[in-house]
Amino acid sequence: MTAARTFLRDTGLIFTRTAREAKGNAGLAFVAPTLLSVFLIVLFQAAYGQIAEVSGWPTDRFIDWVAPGAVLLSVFVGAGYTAGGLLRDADSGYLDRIRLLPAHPATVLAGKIGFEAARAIIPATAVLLVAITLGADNRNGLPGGIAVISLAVALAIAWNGIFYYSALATRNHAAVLGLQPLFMPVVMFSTFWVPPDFMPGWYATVAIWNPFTPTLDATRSIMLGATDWAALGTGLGLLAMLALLTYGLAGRHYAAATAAD
Amino acid sequence: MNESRNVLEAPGATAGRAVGLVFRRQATAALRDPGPHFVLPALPALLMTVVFTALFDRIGDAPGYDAGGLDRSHAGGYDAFLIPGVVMLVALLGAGATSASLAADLRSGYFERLRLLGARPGTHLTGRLLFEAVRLLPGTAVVLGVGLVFGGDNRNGIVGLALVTMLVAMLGMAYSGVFYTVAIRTTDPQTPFQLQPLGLPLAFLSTALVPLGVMPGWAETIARWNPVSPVVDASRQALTGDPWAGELPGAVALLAGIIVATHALASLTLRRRLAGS
Repeated sequence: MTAARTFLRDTGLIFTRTAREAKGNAGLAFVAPTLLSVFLIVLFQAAYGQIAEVSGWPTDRFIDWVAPGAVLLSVFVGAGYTAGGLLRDADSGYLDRIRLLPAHPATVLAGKIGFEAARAIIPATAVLLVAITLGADNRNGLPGGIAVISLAVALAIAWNGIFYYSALATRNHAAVLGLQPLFMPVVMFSTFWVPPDFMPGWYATVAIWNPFTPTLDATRSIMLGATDWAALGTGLGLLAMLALLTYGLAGRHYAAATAAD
Repeated sequence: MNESRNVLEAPGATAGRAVGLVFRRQATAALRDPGPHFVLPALPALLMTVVFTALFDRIGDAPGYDAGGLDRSHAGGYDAFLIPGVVMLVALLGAGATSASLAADLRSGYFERLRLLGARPGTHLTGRLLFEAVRLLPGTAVVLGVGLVFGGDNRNGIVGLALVTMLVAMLGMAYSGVFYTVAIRTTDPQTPFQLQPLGLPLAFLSTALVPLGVMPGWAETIARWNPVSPVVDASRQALTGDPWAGELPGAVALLAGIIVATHALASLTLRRRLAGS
């Protein structure tokens, strides 16, 4: 068996182990991110839905504007799950036992990150379906839906890099948990709730330069049926840069932690 | 510490002094860790003040808004409407921190030791409840100050501010009884963190953020029955209307009733738990 096939097989085993753990903790892994995202769009729709009736609002209904963000929000509110699991593995000696085996240590990271990407599909799909049920536009049908979910997966991989870096750099559960609210300013100071024309100048400037905004705008453009390819390219590029940076740094800490004594 | 021991051990110790000692114990613990007790309660309301005044200002132009009670001639517009409501989030999203120590005390056997000393466990709830009200005051002051900078209006000067602060403190006390009841039943120090999200629907499905006229029918129905709505209406009246109008006595009476009800429920739950242990 080639080294690459061995690596893939071992990564698959870690993926399966992580998935089995998540299945036993489905409330935290899948249900909470879904419910929180749905909960927030329902509450905001109830309180601020009428803003879509104001002259200049770009979509038919408020939910058309916020639904794409809600799909991505499920990634943010569920972030850090497997990074926390990696810390538990380090605490329990699991990573040390891996070192005694012929498996490449990187398979642990690869398997967990792979599962993190797969995990994002379930809440993102559920939120998308609820949003469509509540009346949100999805003018590109199934291909559009798949594209939106794919963007959620890309965001999940990149955003969780921050949690992996924090976990491996600090080895502290509290530090990983403490990163959870980081998404709030990222979401609040973007085009998540209203278009830039509805913001004061300073706020619009922050929102336009927010690195999350291109991904959000691209997701929205897909659901509204007029894909913004420039935003899509920029968003994916920024996510790739975030992933390279965070996983690069995390990988260095991980290599140091799993190196032979 | 000596004074504390003497009061709790003395058979004739007054409930008032015991409540004061519990209050001081809570205050001392909170001052050692001021972030969760004094800073965190204000953060969600502060964030919402900055974000909502910026993002949703134009909802004042939506159809139905006038019918909802916004005075369009008012200089502050939606911002003036929002600030007396959003300040209530200091209580709704920041209440209950002292329930963590209540659960921890139940777990550690602290209450068992109190029974040996003859102290009344109910004083622990009252002392905590009073501290809960005081704990919210700095956050309320900060949110009101920032809110006024971000477009809030105060036509009634210090009287208006004092009345709003009193309403936030009373709302925090009323809501804390729910946290105490759950903390006593679960003995889980994580109780405040688990219950805090409940403050969101209480705020959003009330008149705190928007008037009834712009809500969909189902939300309007809930908001009319939501006890937070009359409190918010009184707060709004205190800052931008006649502070002594009918809303204020009604809200104070409602909050007093809820404080008594939730505190009685927590006391009953505590008595049953201690009787069963």
